[in-house]
Amino acid sequence: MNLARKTIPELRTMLDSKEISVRELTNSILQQVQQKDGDLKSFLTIFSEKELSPAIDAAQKAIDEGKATDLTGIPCSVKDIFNMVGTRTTASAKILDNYIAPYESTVTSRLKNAGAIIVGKVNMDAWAHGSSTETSDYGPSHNPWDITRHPGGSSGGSASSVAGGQVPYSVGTETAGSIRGPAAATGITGFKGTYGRVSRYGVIAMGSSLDSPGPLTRTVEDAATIMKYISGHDAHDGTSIQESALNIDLSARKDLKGLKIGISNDYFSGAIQPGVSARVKEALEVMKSLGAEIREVEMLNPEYAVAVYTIVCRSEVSSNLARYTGTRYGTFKNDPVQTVYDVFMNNRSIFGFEAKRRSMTGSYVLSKGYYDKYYRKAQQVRTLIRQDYDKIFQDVDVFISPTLPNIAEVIGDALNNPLFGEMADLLICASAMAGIPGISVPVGLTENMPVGMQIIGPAKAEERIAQVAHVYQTATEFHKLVPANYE
Amino acid sequence: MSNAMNGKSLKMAEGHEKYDLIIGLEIHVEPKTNSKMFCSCSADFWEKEPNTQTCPVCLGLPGALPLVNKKAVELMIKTGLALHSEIRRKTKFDRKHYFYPDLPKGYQLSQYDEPICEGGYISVSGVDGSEKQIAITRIHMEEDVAKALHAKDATGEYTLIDYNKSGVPLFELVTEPVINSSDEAWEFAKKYQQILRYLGVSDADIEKGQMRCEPNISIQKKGTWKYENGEIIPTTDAPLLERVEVKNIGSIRFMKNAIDYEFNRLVELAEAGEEIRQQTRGWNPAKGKTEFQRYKETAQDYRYFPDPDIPPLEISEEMIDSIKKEVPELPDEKIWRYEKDFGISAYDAGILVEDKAKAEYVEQIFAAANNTTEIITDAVKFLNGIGASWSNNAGKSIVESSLQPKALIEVITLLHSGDITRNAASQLVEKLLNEGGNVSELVEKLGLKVLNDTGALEKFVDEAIAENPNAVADYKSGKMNAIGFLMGQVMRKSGGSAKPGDVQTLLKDKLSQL
Repeated sequence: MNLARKTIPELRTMLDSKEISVRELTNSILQQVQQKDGDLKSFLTIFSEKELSPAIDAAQKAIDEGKATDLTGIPCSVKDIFNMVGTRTTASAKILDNYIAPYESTVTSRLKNAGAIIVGKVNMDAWAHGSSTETSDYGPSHNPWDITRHPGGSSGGSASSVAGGQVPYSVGTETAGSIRGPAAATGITGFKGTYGRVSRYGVIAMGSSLDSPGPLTRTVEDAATIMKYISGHDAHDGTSIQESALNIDLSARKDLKGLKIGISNDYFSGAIQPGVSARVKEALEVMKSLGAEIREVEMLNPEYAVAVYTIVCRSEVSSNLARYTGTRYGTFKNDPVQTVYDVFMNNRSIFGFEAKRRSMTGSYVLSKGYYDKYYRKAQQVRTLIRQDYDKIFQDVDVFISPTLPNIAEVIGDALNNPLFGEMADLLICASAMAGIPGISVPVGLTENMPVGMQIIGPAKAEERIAQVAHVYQTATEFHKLVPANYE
Repeated sequence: MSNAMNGKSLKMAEGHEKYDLIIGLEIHVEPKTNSKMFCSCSADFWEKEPNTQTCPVCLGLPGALPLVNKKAVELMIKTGLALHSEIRRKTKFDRKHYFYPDLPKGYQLSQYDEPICEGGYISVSGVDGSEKQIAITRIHMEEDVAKALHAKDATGEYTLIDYNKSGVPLFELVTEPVINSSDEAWEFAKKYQQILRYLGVSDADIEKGQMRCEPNISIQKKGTWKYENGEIIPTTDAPLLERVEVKNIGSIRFMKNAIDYEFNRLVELAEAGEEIRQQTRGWNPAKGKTEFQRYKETAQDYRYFPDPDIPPLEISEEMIDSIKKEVPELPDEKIWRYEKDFGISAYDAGILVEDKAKAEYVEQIFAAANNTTEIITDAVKFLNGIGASWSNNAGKSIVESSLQPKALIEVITLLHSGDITRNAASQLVEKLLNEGGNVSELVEKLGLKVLNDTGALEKFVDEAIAENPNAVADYKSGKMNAIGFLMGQVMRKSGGSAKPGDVQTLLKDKLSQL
């Protein structure tokens, strides 16, 4: 029996009833991690039982004293983008290979306070630049459904660690699609809240005006539970929403009666793989049978959002990467350097191709004379995109589309496309730019690979989209599908 | 060094006859906040152990996020209100990108196109002595960088970085290019410093690097330029002469020296027909001259964009109103009021209000005088006379003396009622400055009360005449100034308490009877 395949409430019952101890559970999970990581390459850092002992003991004590939270004693992985005190934190970038974080991100701090056992830090696209983990300076992770394929990205290690049955859940981050995308590519649930819902403090920045941490899980219920612990206002993050933690009540909705679902043809045609469209349309039929009403809505073509996203995000990337000058971060090889420029050049040459490409584009669009032409204009279109959603949410309660245009590609196939990453995020960019919440749930397979459907709601409507997703999941079994080789 | 500099120098005055001097100032000031601009580390970095006041935010660690120091914003609003600036109701912070090892994030948080304060002015004395308003373009907030220490030892050259200063708030004030002499520049900076201290916004302590001046200097041939819409534009076909920026001058006096030096240098270059290239220079206080640093012909592209980590800041009317109430009466307003209400000259008033503590002390004195002009007039004489020399000798402000405001007024009241002489009053004030004490007790103890007892005075006069037959004989023989000696004797006997007029009358009277 693989305990990593259990849901959070199932593990809660086992721990609380003393059917299993925290140490036994952790060791069992560590075994799954070790056993499968040769194939999946989900992890960059795996903690030993010894390193985890204080956390294990504290969790066990809390359980024994009846002070357990929903997460106490349950192992998980986190994306290697979260600073954790005393732990190497790389964002999958070699320039941070020896960076030991001296401080704790709000998300991991909240997980730890809730008693979660973080067993390791997982792979991602370097600096979160990509949708496949292929830009990771440590090599790609693999999709447990077909290990010749990538698991999506940038939170690909999170996805492969959950879908591959290494851990019960993971916490990743999304800038535009980096939670929902890999969740869809690996057949699990990915939940991205409203921008500002989960603190960015201690999260290595990619696109600061977009970055949103969130869970990757087996079920909507688990995702909602994790949100309860990682969301809520954080005084360390000036962009954090000034509200207390989300407390989503999934039991409040039993069916989809009265729910108005908006769909747009642009999100089902063109570059969208037919099998993907078909699975999502079937899911919509299920939702109809549960009482929902489907309405076609007029939306801006998603390609505008990709253009805007590319400009805004790469501008922010070029700025956020400016601190890695080659002086404070880097390898500092032992061979004697001649000049300070040697130090800069040695260290900066470690930057991966994608990071360089994005920094160059970002620097260009921010430079004098081009700022108005690109950045300012992009921000104006961003406002239009927000208004576009404001408009449709007057008519419908949620907007639904496929999460990704296609199933996960074979590793290496996408790298030649200079906008790779962004095109994979085609269907996600608009909602990410608008800063609104979305959740991706599995809706079956095509070509033996999972397909994801995203449910998008207005700002702060996390509870609504989670309830809809939960009703769908309760009526279906797709979230229980497991890749044959990695049970 | 160019030939022009070695050749015959034009005298400064001659230079001014032919060329106009055009100066714009940038002044950086560190406001007095407890914590840094974007984190809670202490902002008091002066002489602290290196790298002991740092955190992930001011070290620029991956993932750290800035939080705006509200206090610093309030202090800037207060400054803007005092300098007649417009306060933006919505402002934002921008990232200014450049590469330097002392800049931990690779960008500096600053304000690009929406500074907190826009416009405003400080009045100085113009060339002809009339009031001249120096227009302020803007005041914006930014964070300071770390401190780089370049060192050299047996192992080679290296640079150490101290991040204690990283993230300390800075105000950058920029003036329009409307300053036309080093005196105006000096007075502008002095007055800005004085106002900041009055407001309690900054100590603007030069020694601690809390105020740094950067003049932009150019000379233009008279009649070849005009100032329009914030810009210097040519009025002839000839191109304007390029400007020079002198960076990071750590004292107002040095700034004045640097401007004077640059004026002469530029005039000599221009006169020798040599090209003036746009450049950045530094002030070398030891050599008393500016030194070339780099040419600055292409503007650096800082790739400004709004910091996505800091939401735009709304400044409410309520906030501005409550800050307005905290702006005290400023030196110029006090000077104007003193002139109007008490007829104190602007010069004298200027000395009285030079710093806030002294101005408060003076206000206490005025209050003790019940705002009576006659008493105040004498108080000012004592303050700017004996008081000022006491300060000079003691190297302390009069505020730190033992002279209580009420005591000074008591002395003046005694003077005006004729109970003591002016001489005695001066003696008393001197004593009070040094030791303080109760005025009436001192008058008693020192016997300074005017001798109104005619009998006693007569006795002193008779004694003096009896004891000094030679002087009496001199007087009688026509040496009228011998009476001065005799008067001195009487005054001494009375311990200074006799009125000189009374003594003279009585002496003459007695002598004529001999």
